[in-house]
Amino acid sequence: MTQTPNVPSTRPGAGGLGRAASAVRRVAAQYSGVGVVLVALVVYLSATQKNFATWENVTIILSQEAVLMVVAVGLTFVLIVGGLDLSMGGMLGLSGVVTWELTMHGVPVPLTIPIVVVGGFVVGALTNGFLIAKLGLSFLVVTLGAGAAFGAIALIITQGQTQSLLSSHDLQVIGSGGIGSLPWLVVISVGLLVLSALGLRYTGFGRMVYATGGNQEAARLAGIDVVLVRLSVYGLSAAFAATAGMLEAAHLASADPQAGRTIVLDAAAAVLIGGTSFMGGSGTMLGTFLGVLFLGVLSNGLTRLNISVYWNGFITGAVLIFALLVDRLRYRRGQ
Amino acid sequence: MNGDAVLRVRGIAKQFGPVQALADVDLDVRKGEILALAGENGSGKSTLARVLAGALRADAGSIELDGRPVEFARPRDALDAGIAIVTQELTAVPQLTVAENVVLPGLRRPAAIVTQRGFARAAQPHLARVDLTVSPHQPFHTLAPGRRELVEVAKALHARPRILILDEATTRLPDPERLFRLVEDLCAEGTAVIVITQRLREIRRLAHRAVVLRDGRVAGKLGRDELDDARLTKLMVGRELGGFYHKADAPPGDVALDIDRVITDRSPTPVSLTVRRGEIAGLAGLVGSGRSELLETVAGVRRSHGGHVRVAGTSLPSGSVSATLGAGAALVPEDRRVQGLVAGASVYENIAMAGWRALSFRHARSERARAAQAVERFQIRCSSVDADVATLSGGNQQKVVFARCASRAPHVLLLDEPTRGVDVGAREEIYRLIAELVQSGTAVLLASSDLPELLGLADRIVVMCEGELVGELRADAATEESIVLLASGGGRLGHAA
Repeated sequence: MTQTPNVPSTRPGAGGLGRAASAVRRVAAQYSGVGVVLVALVVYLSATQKNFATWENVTIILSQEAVLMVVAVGLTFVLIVGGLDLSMGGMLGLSGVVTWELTMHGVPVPLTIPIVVVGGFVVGALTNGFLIAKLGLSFLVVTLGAGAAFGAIALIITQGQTQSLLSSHDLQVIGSGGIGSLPWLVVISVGLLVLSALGLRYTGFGRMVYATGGNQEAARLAGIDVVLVRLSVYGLSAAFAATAGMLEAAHLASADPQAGRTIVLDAAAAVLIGGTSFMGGSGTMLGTFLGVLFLGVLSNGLTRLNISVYWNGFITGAVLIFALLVDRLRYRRGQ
Repeated sequence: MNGDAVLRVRGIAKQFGPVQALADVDLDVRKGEILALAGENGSGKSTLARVLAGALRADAGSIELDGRPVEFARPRDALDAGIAIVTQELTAVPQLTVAENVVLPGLRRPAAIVTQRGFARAAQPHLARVDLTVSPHQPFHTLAPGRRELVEVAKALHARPRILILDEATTRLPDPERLFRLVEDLCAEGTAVIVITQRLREIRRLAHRAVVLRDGRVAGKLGRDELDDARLTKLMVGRELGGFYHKADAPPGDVALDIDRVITDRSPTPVSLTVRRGEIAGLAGLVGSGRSELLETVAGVRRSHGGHVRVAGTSLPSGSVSATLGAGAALVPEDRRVQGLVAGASVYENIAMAGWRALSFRHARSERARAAQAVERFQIRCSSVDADVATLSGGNQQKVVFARCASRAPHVLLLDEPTRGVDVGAREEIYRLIAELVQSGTAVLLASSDLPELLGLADRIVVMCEGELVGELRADAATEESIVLLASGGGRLGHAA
């Protein structure tokens, strides 16, 4: 070889091995906060619990966190563009209820899915997106209000009752079936995450999201339609929330109008643990994946260790702050 | 003059609230010419630039490109028409890589497939052209200040502009000469360049013609042979400048500021310096020489790593702004927007702020009254003391910061680039204020990159290089050349030999 493979080169097209090594180093550095804790947790649980490191347990963790993962993916887009969507929980409940309504009216599932997802996008873009991106209202107030309204509509439709979806075979396949030993919930949630990761990194739209979140005025002067970008992102987050609502309904075989009451806070914790900044302009789907995985492993591990699940929130909060601290220390050192 | 106008601007007007920022502005730009757009701060230069770049819509007037009328509703329209701008404030996305920032205006279709390597490849020639030798994959926020502007220039080049607007692009560049040569190359290739600046030297050095704005109107146009300081200044200010630098000749009193073997973030070796009452000590040095760090350490904004600072005999604890203020030393910081002012708060609140205590009541009426006095004394131009400080021009904002510092009658005034981005007229007033304060016994430590300013104001000039004090010159014996030699490390080598 004419090139030293382990010297990180900044030249495009330099040695492939060197690039891989520097990529690994970059990823390791970027996720050291959550990474350290996650690895420690996994190593400890694998060593002490004989059924932890099994394929079956991994799929259990992932399918339990599938709904959270989809919400977190949608929220990642919003945080990168420099916003927040508190209405995702309300949208999640509403979408479950709409799925139930459509099913009761005999709409087949293959048609229900696009209706709910596209409907979610349109509603999110026209309410949150329009008010925040076009009219410049505060995202905190708008999405808080919209979330309350979505949740209320779900309650009005169902009169507050959880509705059974046991009659729909197709939904149960999605909620409980799978390809071989791989649950559909995992395929769909991880699939959406991978697609989103690729979309953020390799499409013009993805880069526009980063640019808009990083410096809106710079993006605007560079000719990017920042209003349209932000509007679409709020559409996207609603579409992801709607998808998550369908998955939740399919998984539980019932539509609970209040299914999403606390999910935005959990999703925000996962996304922030994954290193996405509240200030906008930075963050990755890989980080979000690690954040969700962490929450999943944590609750799975606590159950196995017979520790009260009430510790869950405490540890999540501590890790969130720890991740932020590590991030700050690393930033200081970089200065 | 050869060639027809590429860009023809007629009757542009723009109003912000009650302020007429532009009124009936005409402008012609020819192919391959360098046109200087000069004027004081607040004269409407940047507003005009933003209108031309599509960032702002004019209330009235027309723009013609190659004889065809155009309408710029968004920056995209102007970019597509071949107009690129490098703005006064940085407009980069800090988290993105250098390369991605450069190619950002080329990002058109949301569905396009893009890669970082593609960005790097596309950005490389433009980075090379501005002589920026950093990795294109480096995140923008890790770049040193002097290099960030070059990324902005590369970004403008990437748009392959027919008309390039540089809005005060050189104020933060350590070596503007390289940019000047690039501008000349571009204009040789047929690009028209509009250089917006207040620096007369740059106009003389670069421009083929100059258009001077004053109060939003065209005050005059000067041809190549008429570009001398006297004519330019007269058009910019509307009057002849008298004694520009007001030098106080107060007899130096006892030591007011004693910097005793202080070690700062940027100075590995101890720095010692004293300033007497009624004295102005100039602090010279290149960007990154540790000037700002020294001032900020003295002011308590940064912690010192050793040594003592004494103000009027009182020893200051390290890293305490309130103790420093209490002892009578105040800092007018380098970046007034970030460090000096609270945008969104009123003029009077910004002035009164230094007197606020957490556990005492405020007296808005007396604060307003005192602010009104300060507005009078410092000739701050604002609609009222209740006006948002962000609506003031740069020079007037700086005077607000001065007013706050002076309101506490400080023993020691620390000035960090007090006239950066301040127009000629306001500059003179600031110099007069400094002279007044010195006359009344204040000791001033003045850091500035503007050498004529240092030479004109200071009694002696201390030069820093890479965190060390490398020399001290008496103002009457110092020249720009001798300061530059010391600041760039030349003098120190001489000592060692």
